[in-house]
Amino acid sequence: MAFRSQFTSVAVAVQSSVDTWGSPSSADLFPCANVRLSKESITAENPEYLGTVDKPGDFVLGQKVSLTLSIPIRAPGGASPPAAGAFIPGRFLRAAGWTENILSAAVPVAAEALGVGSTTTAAKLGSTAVATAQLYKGLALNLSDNGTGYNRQLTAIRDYTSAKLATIAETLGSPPAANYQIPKQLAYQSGASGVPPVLSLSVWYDHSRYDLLNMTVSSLKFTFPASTRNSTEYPMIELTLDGDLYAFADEDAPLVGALGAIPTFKDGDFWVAGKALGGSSFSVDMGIQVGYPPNPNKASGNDAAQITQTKRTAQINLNHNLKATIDFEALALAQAQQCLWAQYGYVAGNCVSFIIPNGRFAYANVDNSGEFVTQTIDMLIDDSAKAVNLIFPF
Amino acid sequence: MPSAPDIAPALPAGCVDFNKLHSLIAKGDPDAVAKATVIPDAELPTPLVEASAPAKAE
Repeated sequence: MAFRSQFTSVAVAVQSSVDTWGSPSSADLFPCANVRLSKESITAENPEYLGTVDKPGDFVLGQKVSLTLSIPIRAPGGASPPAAGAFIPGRFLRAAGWTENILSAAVPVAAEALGVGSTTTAAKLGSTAVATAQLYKGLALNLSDNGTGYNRQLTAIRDYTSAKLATIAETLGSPPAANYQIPKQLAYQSGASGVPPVLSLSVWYDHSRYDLLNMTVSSLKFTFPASTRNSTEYPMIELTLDGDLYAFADEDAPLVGALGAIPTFKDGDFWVAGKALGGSSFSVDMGIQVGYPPNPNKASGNDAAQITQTKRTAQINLNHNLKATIDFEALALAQAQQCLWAQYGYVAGNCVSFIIPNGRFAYANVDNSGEFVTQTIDMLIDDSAKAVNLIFPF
Repeated sequence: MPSAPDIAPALPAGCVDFNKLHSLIAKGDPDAVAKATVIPDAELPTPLVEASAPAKAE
């Protein structure tokens, strides 16, 4: 009987150290899409002369193993952030050099009065806030007089100063003057220090299991298509991982529990450079490069892959705007840092917030090949710490 | 008494208990990040088995 593609399962565990199998278990299974295990032979031409026109075949030196997969962006659910390491998509982000920042309690625990000095683009935090610059950068913030309802009152912090001034990603109708609270949240923030962990994955194809060791994230992209009456897309994390084959065995694919509906990118916020703008989508490529330090002591001839650099870029696809609304020519010329923020979902534990606090705009490209004239803008990211943030507020 | 740092420390490529970090930073603890970093149980290194003590000569 042929193997059926629908019987594909994936489990992932963070390794305690390089070369130590992480033993992913049934608790580490997760639903994902577009799972493609690629095994490519490393060959080299045999240059030896054999006294005939018939050359010998290539030498087979080893194999390259990589795995691509996509994960729909789904908040963890529940009333509070999960325990450290429990949110399975977050394991991939940590392996890509991100921090999993867990706020299991709001700061402050009870909403507190704002300080004096807020503006339409900045909130002056109150007495509980710590006067340490950038401590709250990239986190969600609740402002009690920012509209009605949980999701409307949420915003995101793009900059925080030692004077307790939190610059936010949106432009309010009037300066906030009531209470603030940094809500419970699970925040993934790029640009972490130190060496990211590597992953162990098991991939089942119906009756076979491939175990993959020392898997390093070699490509990480986020896509956020707007959900419209014509769109059938939804936000996804797209990943490629490179590493080694650890084991290959015959075993039936285990059942993976369905996680249900996902929040879609609509009825929310999409702010670019402090303006709420319409558009079809945006995407972020973390531009990861990995290298393989040579090491003849290892079976593969090299150490596990390491991330050697990232070059982060966002691409924003907007409906064409009036110059009077937002002048992308002037913004590209000025090369000042601007913010991109998206948020959607309705209730605590099922909201998604994504913020790039700072990025410079390249010149916008204009396209009239579709129904509507569009502007496509590349956003070039310079920041290191907390440059890209994926947040699940509670 | 130590005061909170002017600039937030770099965070690790791991899990951080932000509430603990917040409290430690407010107190000016220089090891705030290390103390607030959480290693999930499943990711802890397997403990090494202690070598048995050499037998004593009678």
